[in-house]
Amino acid sequence: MAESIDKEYLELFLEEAREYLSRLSELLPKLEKEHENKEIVNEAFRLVHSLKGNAAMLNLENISSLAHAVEDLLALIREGETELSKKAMKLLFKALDALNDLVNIVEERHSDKELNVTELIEELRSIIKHEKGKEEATPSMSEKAREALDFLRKMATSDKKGKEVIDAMTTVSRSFDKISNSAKAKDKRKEVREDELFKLNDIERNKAIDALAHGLQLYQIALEFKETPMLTLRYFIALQKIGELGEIIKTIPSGAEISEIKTQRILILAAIRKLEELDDAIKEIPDLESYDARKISLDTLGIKENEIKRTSKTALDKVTEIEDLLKKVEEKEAEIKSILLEEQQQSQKLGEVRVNVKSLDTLFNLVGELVLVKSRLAAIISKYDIPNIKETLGTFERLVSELQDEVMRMRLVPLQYVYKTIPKYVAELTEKYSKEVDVYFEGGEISLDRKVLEDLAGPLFNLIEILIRDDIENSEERVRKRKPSVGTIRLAASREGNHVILSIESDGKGIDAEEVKRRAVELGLVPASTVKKMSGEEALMLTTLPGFLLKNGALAGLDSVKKSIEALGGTLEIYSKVDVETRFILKIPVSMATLRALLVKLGNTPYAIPVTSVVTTIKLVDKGNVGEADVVKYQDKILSIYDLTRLLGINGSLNKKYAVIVEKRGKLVALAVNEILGQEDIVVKPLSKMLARTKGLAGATIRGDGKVCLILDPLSLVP
Amino acid sequence: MDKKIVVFKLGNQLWGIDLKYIREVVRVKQYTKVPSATDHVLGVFNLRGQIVPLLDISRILNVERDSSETAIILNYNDEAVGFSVDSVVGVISISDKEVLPPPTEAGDYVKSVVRRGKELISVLDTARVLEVIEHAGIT
Repeated sequence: MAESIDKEYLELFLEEAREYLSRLSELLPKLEKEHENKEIVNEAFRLVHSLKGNAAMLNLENISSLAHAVEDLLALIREGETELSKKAMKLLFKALDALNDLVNIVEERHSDKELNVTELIEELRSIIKHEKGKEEATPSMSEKAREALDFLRKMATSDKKGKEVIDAMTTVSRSFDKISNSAKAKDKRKEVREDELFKLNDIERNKAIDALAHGLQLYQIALEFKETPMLTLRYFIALQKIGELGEIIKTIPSGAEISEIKTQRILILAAIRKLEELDDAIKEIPDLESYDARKISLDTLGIKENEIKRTSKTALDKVTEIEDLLKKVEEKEAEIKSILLEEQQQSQKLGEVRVNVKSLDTLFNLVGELVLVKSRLAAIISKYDIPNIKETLGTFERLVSELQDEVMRMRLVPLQYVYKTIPKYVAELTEKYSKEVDVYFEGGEISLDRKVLEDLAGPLFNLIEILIRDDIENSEERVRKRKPSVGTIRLAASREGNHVILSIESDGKGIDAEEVKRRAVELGLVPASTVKKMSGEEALMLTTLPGFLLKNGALAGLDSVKKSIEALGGTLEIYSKVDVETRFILKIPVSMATLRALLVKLGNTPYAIPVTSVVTTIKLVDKGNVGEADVVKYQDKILSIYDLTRLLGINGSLNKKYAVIVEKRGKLVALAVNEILGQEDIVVKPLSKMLARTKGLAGATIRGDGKVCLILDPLSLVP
Repeated sequence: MDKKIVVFKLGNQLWGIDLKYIREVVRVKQYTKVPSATDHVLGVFNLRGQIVPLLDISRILNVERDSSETAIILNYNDEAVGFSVDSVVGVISISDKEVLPPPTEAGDYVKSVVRRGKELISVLDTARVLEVIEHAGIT
């Protein structure tokens, strides 16, 4: 069977499976910390559930049964029937590893038979059995949600805010249905009951009435799909296409059931404007065998004509009540958001195309060659005076450089991709070295070229291991030192011109510069006379000499970290304070990195300001003076206003209407600008060395119109 | 040995730059001013996706001129640098015997003088000009 897997589906499966597993490897460590966080459990559950479904479709039995067992364990956790025991957590991690292995095997062999996971499944099953017996069932989230929903349904009427409430409720209801149905339908497959299409619940009914009030017509649409493993996806495409025409009232099977039921026939009750529009939309749905649409009368649905008019009227007396309800709905919504996310992603994917990394690299290289050819061509053409060719060449050059920018942009990957693999790694290390550590991340949105990021991951992981192994004390020792029993590792990234500064710090025992000096001399790495004159910071750099390690073996391996970072064109600095902190600072060049920037106008010239240095933007209304200085009120603070034009040493009108608020040394200041243009992702280009040291400039970028736009470093300008 | 120089006009005078420094001649339709840079820096412009500084050497050479769109792109430390000039006259070959030492009043930036017909061409000490501008740029 497995050999006959269609290659296209297999690739789709592998891609999705990797995505699910990568997300799971982020979620599990979080789950370990926040047992009670339902959002995490829910998301993990949905991921495993989808993986199971996809694997079953391709007859990958090992994956699907392992995923099934994991799903059952997560279901127990989700229903609040068990707290996570250490053992259960460990098993979850183990299962995740096994799933990763299985997926890799599938890629190579197109089958998952090579790896036996029966034992692991047994283990999972036995813990499920054990946990189930151990605890009394508490009121589940589904029950609580059900109560809230019933309450909401009673309250929702034909109010002014009725539509909003109904929409919000529909969202809640849909997600809720998904949760309860997928749990219920886990073992018993449901039958499709087509006659249920017209039995509307209150929400669906209100939706229908609302659509009718807006002049839409109700249709029953029956879709018959060809046999395809991508039925779920097709289903969502259909819903999206038809949804664009008006409103989907109800479907059989429901969104929650579709992945369980796998029926090729789908019934949709939708409100649309015109039947002709539907024909066009239907054409865009792939793998459709046939379809049929017929108009539905109000009677069929038990809706009366006078109900439709009522919806457009308002009843103000219930507004406050409704508002309270909305708040509740929002709370519920947030709880359930993560589950919905998956569905959204599925429909959003339609606007994106997955690109193989290899194709991207090829494209990148081809563009590089194209740029070279272009320059040669330009050089040749410039020798001859051929009419019109210069303009054409100009256009060609512009196109090539745009193409190059675009491809570079495609290669950028946010640091988050490396960040998200760290928690799992830290979990392994803390177990290995018996330490307790919390990890915090900042600056995950900062993008680096894919290759740079790839090469950075190794040294980064080494540094984290060194910190956990050698710096963070074990809990008892930390308590003795009156430190929090759990250690902290903090990773923070920021942009500085054409570099990313990445700092990795921990609050462990620190490095004693004197000890390092003595040890370096002892190991014969440096003469004693040299060491004497060294400052503390210089001494810490001795730890990066090949062969350096402390007496207890600590700090070994820093030399290779330093080498890898230097190979990237970066630098490594080490700071430490005994018993306070150890901090590694990496400076990595990213000449191709993009930056999210706020564009402002000074006079008529646009300038870019990295959003990382912007707190917010305001309109200068509450202006005043304190002595000589202009000030503005922001929230309840009084901020000094500096004219950004003046700070840059250009003349310009002083009467600016807007300000960018930045924070320098913990103090907020307002920088007045003429206009705020909005945010953009820009490709940072290096300024010529000749200008690199000009005050207040961080670089430059080329905007869509071909003009150079300077990137400001506003903090260096604030006095 | 013959040497090739690019001859250009700047403020009613003829100047020359050794061809080996020169990458190309372009028209710069628009450039972006760089606040807080020195006076010699007119701004930066987009040369096929690369950010290139545009320099006005007339202030160093102490000649008066009007603005123009013509710029000579030079190689300097593996980077492109643009000199804004009035117009480019052409490339000429000069033999060693045509080269006269610069008159003392020509200043530090003229390496030699070449006579062509009635015209005198002042050949720049390009490296020196660029160095001065680069160091002036650090404020």
